[in-house]
Amino acid sequence: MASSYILSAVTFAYLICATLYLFSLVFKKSFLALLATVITWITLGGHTLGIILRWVESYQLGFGHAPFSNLYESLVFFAWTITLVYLLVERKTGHRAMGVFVIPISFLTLAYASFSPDISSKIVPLIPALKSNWLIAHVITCFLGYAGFATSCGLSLMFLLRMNHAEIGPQDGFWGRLIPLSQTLEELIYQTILIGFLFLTIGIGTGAIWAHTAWGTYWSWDPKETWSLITWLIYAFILHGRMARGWSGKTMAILSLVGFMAVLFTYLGDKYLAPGLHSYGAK
Amino acid sequence: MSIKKKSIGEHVFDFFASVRLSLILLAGVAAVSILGTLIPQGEEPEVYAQYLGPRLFDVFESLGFFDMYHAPWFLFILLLLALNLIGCSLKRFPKTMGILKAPIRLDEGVFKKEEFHYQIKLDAPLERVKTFLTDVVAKHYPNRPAQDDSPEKLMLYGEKGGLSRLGPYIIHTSVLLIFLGAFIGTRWGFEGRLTLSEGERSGVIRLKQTDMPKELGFSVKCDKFSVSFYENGMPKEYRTDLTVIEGGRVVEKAAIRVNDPFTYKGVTFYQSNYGTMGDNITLGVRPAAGGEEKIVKLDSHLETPIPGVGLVKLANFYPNLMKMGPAVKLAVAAGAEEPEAVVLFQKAPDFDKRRQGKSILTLKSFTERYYTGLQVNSDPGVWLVWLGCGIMVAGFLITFYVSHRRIYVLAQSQPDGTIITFSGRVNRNKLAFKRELDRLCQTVQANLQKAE
Repeated sequence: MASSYILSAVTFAYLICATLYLFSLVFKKSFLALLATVITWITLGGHTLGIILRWVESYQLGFGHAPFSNLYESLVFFAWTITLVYLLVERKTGHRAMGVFVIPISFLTLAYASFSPDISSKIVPLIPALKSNWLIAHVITCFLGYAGFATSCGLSLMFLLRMNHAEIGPQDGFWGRLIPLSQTLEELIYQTILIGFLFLTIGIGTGAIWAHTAWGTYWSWDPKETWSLITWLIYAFILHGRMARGWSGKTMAILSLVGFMAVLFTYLGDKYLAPGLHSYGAK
Repeated sequence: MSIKKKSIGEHVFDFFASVRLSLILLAGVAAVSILGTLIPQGEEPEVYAQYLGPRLFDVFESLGFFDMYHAPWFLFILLLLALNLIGCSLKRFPKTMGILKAPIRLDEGVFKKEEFHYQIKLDAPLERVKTFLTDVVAKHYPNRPAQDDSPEKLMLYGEKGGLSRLGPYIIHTSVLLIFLGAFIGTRWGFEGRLTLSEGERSGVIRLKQTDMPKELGFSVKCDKFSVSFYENGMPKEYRTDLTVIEGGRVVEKAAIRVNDPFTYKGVTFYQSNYGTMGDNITLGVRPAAGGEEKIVKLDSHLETPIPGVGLVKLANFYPNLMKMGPAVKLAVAAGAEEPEAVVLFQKAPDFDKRRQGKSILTLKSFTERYYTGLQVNSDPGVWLVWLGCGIMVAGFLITFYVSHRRIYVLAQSQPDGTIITFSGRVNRNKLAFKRELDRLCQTVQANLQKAE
């Protein structure tokens, strides 16, 4: 299948992008960072093509469906949304060094999808429960939410690492130009959490509608559902702390890391818990 | 100044209206929910007893840990959360309305207080600037306009996005709507199951929580059940064709599939599961002491009296039990005794001998028939939940992506032209507002300079 080859190449390309971002920092060369950005955009293009091809190929197999139906496809899409959200943030702020913290997540996600023996990349038809347009809305919005949180997690790491060097600013040459000011980072952490929170909310809502049409209940406390609520509550906690009590950037950054742990557990942790309605995701 | 002592009522209100309580409750619900995913919910008591031992089992049982999300204390936390939402909102609402309705003061003092300042100098005299400036402010900041016009100076005020300050109240209302919808659904709705074999008709479902029967007020008949498969053997579609019968008349026909339910009079039927069942079952009955075998037809649903055996009812049909082929389980009631479970294999005609009853039963023949398992629900609160979700998303957009922007413009006449000062105030996204004011300045400058 052409899509498999493309996605393998894309995985490898993300490794190159991550390395370029890293080299740009290590060797303090701006042009390497620019090159990293350009190649990451091209890789994202290839990634998009791979997803679309996989969609087309499923139709050629005679049971076409959107490529959001199993763990492999969700990981591929997750990596796509992370890269997209990151590149948009990079474009808006002009700070390229953040790629060192985010693009490796895209690479590792795709590598895990491709190389984990538990994950099959085969295109299979949809079981009746998954045949719903709400599936597409649910998956896309959930993963945009996850990507918002992943980006905010990367930014938070950067914020925490930078804390001891708060005085470094744009006037201090290479490092100062590459890494945003703490104040900017704080604002970006907040903004990306907002994106994540908005889409997670829509994701939970569309999931509830889908569950209601498929099983007759919009909320059944299945482990994945509950974990998505836990994630939602943690970020609601962060937002209230920031808005009503004016929490500092450090508190936000640390809690944002905790929040992302919950995101990862929502996404992958249900394997370790009692099987629920989402169990088909693991196959 | 004396500090007024608070009454008990005020203390209670302050407790419920504090953000500290909100944070504790948000973290609390999260922590409890984590616990609920670590302890499997809704298993059989034996499973828990085996893992926990009798003492822990009793503790967990009394705390409601096996059905935590419906335990009274969990619902109590949710109730506290709802009260907290209401309290916080009530406490802050008057202040918010105060900001939105505050009288607009147009004196030069306001320009000292505002955060953003821009000043431009034009060669044009004040009189020629006035109309354009008034129009531009009215166009970009149309709400609550105010102006103070005099020969030496013009002061203007305008604002927009005041709705943004109401965003949190909108979100809080949406959460309460979802809670209310969920409450109505649990209180006045029901969840039940209905199993129908092809051709069977019923108007009584079995409730999930209590296992009690419930009359629907109409009946449904399963005309046909079908299942189709993909080439690789994965299931493709489950489909039940239903007829709704009310007052002896056929009122509606419908096909239901997974993800495609059917609703009649507020009751929704969902495709849930399916299976095969035995029908037209015939049994062989022969006395254990020896004698001729008689063939008896067994009713699929009712008790069938069989002479020398008792009342026999079909309890279960197995297409292939323990890899020994088709089998039936019967409930056999002889006299006033408790019914006895009797299993018969078609391929093992002597299997019933070991029961050592007066008669030996055998499974002679049957036909296999599909049955469909339907989930039958009614949820009169669900529309409130959807409304709440919609309002919540709208509330987020209003809260986070709309900002309350207020702008003051002062144009002062100078001997050689006009000085215009822009200043403003915003409740969030300061950077964006700064850019916006910057652009406004440029527009004004470019246009009025051109008019020269």
